[in-house]
Amino acid sequence: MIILQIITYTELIVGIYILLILLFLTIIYTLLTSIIEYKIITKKNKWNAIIDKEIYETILDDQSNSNTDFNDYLKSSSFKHYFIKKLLKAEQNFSGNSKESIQNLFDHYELKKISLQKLNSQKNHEIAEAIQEVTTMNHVETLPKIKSMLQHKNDLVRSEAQYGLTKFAGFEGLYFLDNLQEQLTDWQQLKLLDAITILPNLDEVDKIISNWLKSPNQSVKILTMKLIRKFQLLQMHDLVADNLHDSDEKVVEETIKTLVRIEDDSTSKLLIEQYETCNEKFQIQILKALEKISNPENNTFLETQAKENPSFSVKKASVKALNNCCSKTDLQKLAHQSNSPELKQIINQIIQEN
Amino acid sequence: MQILIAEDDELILKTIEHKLKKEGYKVVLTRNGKEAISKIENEDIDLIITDIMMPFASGLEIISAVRKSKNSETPMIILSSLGQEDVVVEAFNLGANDFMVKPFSPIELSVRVKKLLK
Repeated sequence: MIILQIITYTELIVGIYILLILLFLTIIYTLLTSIIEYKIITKKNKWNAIIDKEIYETILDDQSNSNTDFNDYLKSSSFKHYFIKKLLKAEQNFSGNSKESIQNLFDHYELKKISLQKLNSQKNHEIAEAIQEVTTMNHVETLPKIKSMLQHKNDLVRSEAQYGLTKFAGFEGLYFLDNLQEQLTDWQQLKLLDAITILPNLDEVDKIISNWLKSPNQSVKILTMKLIRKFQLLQMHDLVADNLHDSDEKVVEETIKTLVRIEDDSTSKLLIEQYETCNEKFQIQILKALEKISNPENNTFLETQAKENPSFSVKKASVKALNNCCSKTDLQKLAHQSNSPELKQIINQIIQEN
Repeated sequence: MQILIAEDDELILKTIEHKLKKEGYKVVLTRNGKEAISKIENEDIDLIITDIMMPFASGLEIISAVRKSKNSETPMIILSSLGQEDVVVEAFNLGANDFMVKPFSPIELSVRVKKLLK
């Protein structure tokens, strides 16, 4: 009653009409967007089926006649872009001749033209995509262009250029590490390492790697240590060990990991010397390293840690390391000698686990 | 001989399907782990090729289910990605017979199939 006193009957009717119109428009909008979404999904499904067929028939050398339908689809620019994306994904899943067939398909349909256009684009994401495409499809002639992107202001473009260069030039392509200012992400390091399949047989390699180990860029040091581990560069042992005193915890962590992989007679001694200056996290890492090195000469040190260190985790890591270098009887003897119920419990548990 | 392929990547699935059909095998396709387990229980399968990472039930769950079922002797090849070494070890412990790492060669896979079915 109060509302009817405020607004007139006509105004009420107009209001209802407006509400109905709004409701109608909302329904139309929802319907239209659903139709468009449905069309996009149907189109993508159709494209997926057509492209998949083209790829697997090429891989299996199964194409009986020229696919005119496929050529019709290729007149659409968005189809071509989608095709390239699918080829890139397919290239990652297949090896050997199948991989080559996928690269041939890229060349056969002249998709390189699209990648080259994108390589000269003003949009960073398009440049990054293009570098990825020409790298994956093995178009080594684009290397000068890729090199010119190494100092690009955009992270993504720079990362793709670094990877492209390394993929094409191998170890020599890593020269950008000499003066790299930006940090390499873990993922980027993994990609770069994966791109290096062999090391050249040159005297210079050791010198280059030594310089990277002294780099002020933490990520360059870490990548170098991963490289040393991958190629088991035993001659780098002492230079790697210099990084045990690095102020960066991640560098120290990688140094310990690397020393274990390229260990020599001095490794245990270096790690034990470092042990006293470390926090508990690194002490445990060193104990795990000694477990892997498994040298009976470390037993006295390990026994002392097991008996005297107040930390449960340190005791456990010490016993585990001892378990690798001494007999079950020696461990039982240690348990018997000890007054610590905690140590006895750890030793019994580790004996049972074996 | 009937081979079941469990793989959620349509292109890989289709490629293996056509390769094996060309070699004269019958092929059953499944796109998730649950569907694979159900088909293994209800159909006569001579060999299973399964991806490790799949929706609803993983390749490892498929291996466990097969080894506990009436078809416990069915040979199995697993497809894994790089960096899944721990999972591959687990798969062998559960009873997988062979494995291939992606990127893989369909030709090599068909040779391994042939060898296991001998």
